Amino acid sequence: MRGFATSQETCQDQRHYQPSREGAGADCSERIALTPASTEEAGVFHFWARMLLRQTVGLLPTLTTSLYLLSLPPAISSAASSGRGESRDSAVSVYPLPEVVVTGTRLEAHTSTSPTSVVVLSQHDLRSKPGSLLASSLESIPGLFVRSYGGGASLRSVSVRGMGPEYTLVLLDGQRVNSYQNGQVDLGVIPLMGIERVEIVRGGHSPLYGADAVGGVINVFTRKPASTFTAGASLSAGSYGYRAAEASLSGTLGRFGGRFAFRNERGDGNFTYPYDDGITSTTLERLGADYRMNNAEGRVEYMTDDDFETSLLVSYGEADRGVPGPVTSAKTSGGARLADQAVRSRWTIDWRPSADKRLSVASAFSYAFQEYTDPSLDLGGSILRSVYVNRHATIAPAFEFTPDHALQATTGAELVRAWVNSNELKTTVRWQQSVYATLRYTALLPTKVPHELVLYPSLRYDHFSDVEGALSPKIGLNLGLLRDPVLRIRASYGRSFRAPTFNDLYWFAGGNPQLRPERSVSFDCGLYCALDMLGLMYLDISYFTMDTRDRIVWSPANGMIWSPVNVGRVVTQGAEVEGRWTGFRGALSLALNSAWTDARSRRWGDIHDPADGKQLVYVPQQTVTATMDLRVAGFHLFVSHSWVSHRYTTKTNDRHLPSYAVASASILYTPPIEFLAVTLKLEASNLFNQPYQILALYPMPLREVRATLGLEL
Amino acid sequence: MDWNCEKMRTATSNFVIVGIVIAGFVGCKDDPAGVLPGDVTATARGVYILNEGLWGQGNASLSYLDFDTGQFTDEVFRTANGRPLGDVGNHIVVHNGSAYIVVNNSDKVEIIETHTHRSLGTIDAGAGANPRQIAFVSDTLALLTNLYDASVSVVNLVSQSVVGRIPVGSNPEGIAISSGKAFVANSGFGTGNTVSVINVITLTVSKTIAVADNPADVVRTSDGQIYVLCAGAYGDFSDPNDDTPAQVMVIDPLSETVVDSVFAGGHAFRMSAGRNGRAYIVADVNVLEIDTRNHTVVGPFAAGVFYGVGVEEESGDVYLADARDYVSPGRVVIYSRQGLMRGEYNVGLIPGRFAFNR
Repeated sequence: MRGFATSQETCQDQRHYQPSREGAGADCSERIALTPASTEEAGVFHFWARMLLRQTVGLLPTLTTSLYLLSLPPAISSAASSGRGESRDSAVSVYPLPEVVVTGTRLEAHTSTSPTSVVVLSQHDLRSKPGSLLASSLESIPGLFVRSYGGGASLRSVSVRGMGPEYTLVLLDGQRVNSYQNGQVDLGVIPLMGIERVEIVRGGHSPLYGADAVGGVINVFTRKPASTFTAGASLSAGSYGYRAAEASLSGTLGRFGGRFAFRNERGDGNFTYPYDDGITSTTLERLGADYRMNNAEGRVEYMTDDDFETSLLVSYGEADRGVPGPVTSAKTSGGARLADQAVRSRWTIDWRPSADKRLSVASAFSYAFQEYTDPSLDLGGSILRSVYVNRHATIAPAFEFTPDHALQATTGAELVRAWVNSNELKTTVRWQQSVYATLRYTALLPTKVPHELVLYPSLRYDHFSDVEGALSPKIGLNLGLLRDPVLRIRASYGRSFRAPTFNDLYWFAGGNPQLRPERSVSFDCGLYCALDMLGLMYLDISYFTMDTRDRIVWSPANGMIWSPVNVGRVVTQGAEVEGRWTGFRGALSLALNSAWTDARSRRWGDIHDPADGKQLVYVPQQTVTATMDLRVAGFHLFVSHSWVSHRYTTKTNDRHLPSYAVASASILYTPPIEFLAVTLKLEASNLFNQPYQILALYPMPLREVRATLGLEL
Repeated sequence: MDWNCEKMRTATSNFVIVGIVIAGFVGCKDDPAGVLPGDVTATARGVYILNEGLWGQGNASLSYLDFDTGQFTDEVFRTANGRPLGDVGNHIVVHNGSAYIVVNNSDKVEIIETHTHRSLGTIDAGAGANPRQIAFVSDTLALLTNLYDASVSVVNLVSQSVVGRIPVGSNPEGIAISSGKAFVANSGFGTGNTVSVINVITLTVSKTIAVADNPADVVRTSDGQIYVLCAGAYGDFSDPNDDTPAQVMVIDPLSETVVDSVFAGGHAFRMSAGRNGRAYIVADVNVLEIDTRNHTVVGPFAAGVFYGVGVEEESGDVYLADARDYVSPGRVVIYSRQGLMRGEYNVGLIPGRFAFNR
């Protein structure tokens, strides 16, 4: 008997730990065949299962992909654990193989064979962690730093490897989410509803995705219709007036599949925090931070056979939030409001004329309205009111060619029209034309060490109607050194860029239409190791450097009008270490990760820069996170403890915010009830009631607890 | 010593809102308090440099140059009081042996004793007031402009509290007092063009004077006239041709009318006047010197991009604040009246205002 977990065992595990069975149901019911294949020498067992995942990668529609059994802890590692006991040869270790990811290469690659480090957040990870927003799931990822302006639905952005949020590209099923206006994504309004998984790749990836993928890429994949009919609902309540309700329907009928979901979330946001300015020492209540959000999405799919599929996804989100400013006195009042509305649609067509070719076309449209008002700011007799309407439309054809297992290539194009209307910017339109090509070549080597080499060359050209274009090449490799234990090393080198935003170019007071794109060169290397050590041990270490020039810096020009110019330079280097141990047949998983980031401003040309050699503001030099994931008898306990080092608040590093440590925990209980999946979740953030600030003068909530009851047919 | 000191001694006033009790410490002599360990002790002569700090960061600070010892010290407020100054230090005036620091985004005015820099109290300007500049009617009464409240607060210096508000135009900025009247620049956040005249006895607006675009700073010259620096409007920010240039409006406080104007050009926005018949204006790329006796521009005084200017009355030395890139520590450059550079000091973030201690 070969040591492998059967598909049935995997499905059972998924149903047990994931009351929402959409993803699991789709996986389990569509497994066509199990074809064991292994290399006797290595003793590692590979299982090929051809299945239609109906994922969308980049702007490519669904893929037909080869999938290794899921085993990345803590998701479905029980499958791997069960495999151990069935191993024919007790001297040969069985390593559950890593997940297939696509974000790092635009092609199928395992996390172990990717040229860059990839972190995957499965649906299980997303549901077990405290929090209802995408931002909360990203907080403990090494190399990522979520900047939050408070609790509730406050503004949140994510930076990767010390680069600001405008250098992190966020994709939703391959569709760009970043605003063309300011280059950022407000994670405070993106709920976890409908998210199947998240892939995070760190480092420059403009050769694959174009502008703004300098620090990293966060690719969010939404759920697909379930293979069987499911209906679900949940209710939540918690601290500071938090309340949420969510409902969903999902299923497949013949060749049609559909999924519909709705979520309402609201809260008072009136958390308490300690205040001490040397005169007054007291506990204050955060005023004016209430929020209300509604999100809805609908997805329909039609598949004629294995060769053709089309899908349409439409999502809508709205939010009305109070956005109190910094706490500058004991009587800071909050009157500013932020209203958001966003509509996204995506239509994809996927066609496989033959087994080795695939043609896809994706078209997408995005509309985002935002209005900021502050009644307390009387400006010449009128209150401050800023209105922004951002739209962009995309058409993206792609062609994929896979002549054999050793070679896979994809090439594609993107045509984008982006435009903005605002009372603070000139109405402007940007046309973007892009082409890209990337391939993966796998060479099995005649030696035992190393035994495999995988190469990933990529090239992309982006042309813009209003700024200079950019040519972005990249070369990556992954070298397999050992099979047992698994040991692989990787490296990549390439160029990336950030395009000036509409704010940079067209802001009424000081926008500079002569700006050039920022350019960066990045190098990344690392190792991946998996070994059997009284359980399954995974270790992933990365080192990176990045040199970004022509950085856009706003500075006063004429009088008091500030204007951006390309004068900055930042040199970044750092390392990320991730270790995880899973034992007791997957019941217990322990993880420890840390990131070190040295991101410094550097003198550029002859311009005097007093910040030369100083750490960038709000970039922690070190973060450490430890997590524990325990599953026993229907209970699932998740505990996390994070430490973040001090952050400088001035360019010259003469002031800083102190380090802080925050713990969070959640416990899920799924009673064994037939025909009805019931989930009870209790969660607590800032478990030990620590006062802290991520950004100066924006206090974070003290302990916050929530309870969720979920039902699913 | 505030140049108004002698006039304040003899001033009497009837107040509309609350009776003011004249406290024992009215006068112009300093009365040094006790010294705590770690205090920075100053002599009688020196200059405060108020560093605004970054908005929303709470890092405003105060530097001090002691004329007698030549010692320069940063962060004197924080060192003396063990706490930060607050968010956005916008204005500072030494009056009656105390320094009054208007901390704009913290909605307060800090009061410190000028020998030790120790706190003598804090005036709560009220949530959302956003105070900008302060002027002294007497040793017991001051007026404080509120940027986002279209008002001027009446401040009881004895109780260290706001006792009333006087409605003025939009976004009041600078304020100066002459001939028993306060002249308030209503900037309109760049769109205004009026000056409100407040009778300091009745504490009501007696007149609104039309001036040029965007009035910002207001100073009283050595001969008692009021200079209002109007920074000029921007119009369409992308079209410099539709801008209106900066100019100084000369107001006679007795007739409450504009009697002359001085062309400054560009968008000059800061001004300071000495007792020697000179005023200095921070313009776009230089500092202009004005003869306040005949209201004419003498010429460029110093080249460079600056953020603040102050004049030391005895020597006529001119202090210029350079904020550099506004995110790094700035510097102060000192010139003699003849335009010779006398010294340079690195200070805190965004130095902007000066107050001389005598």
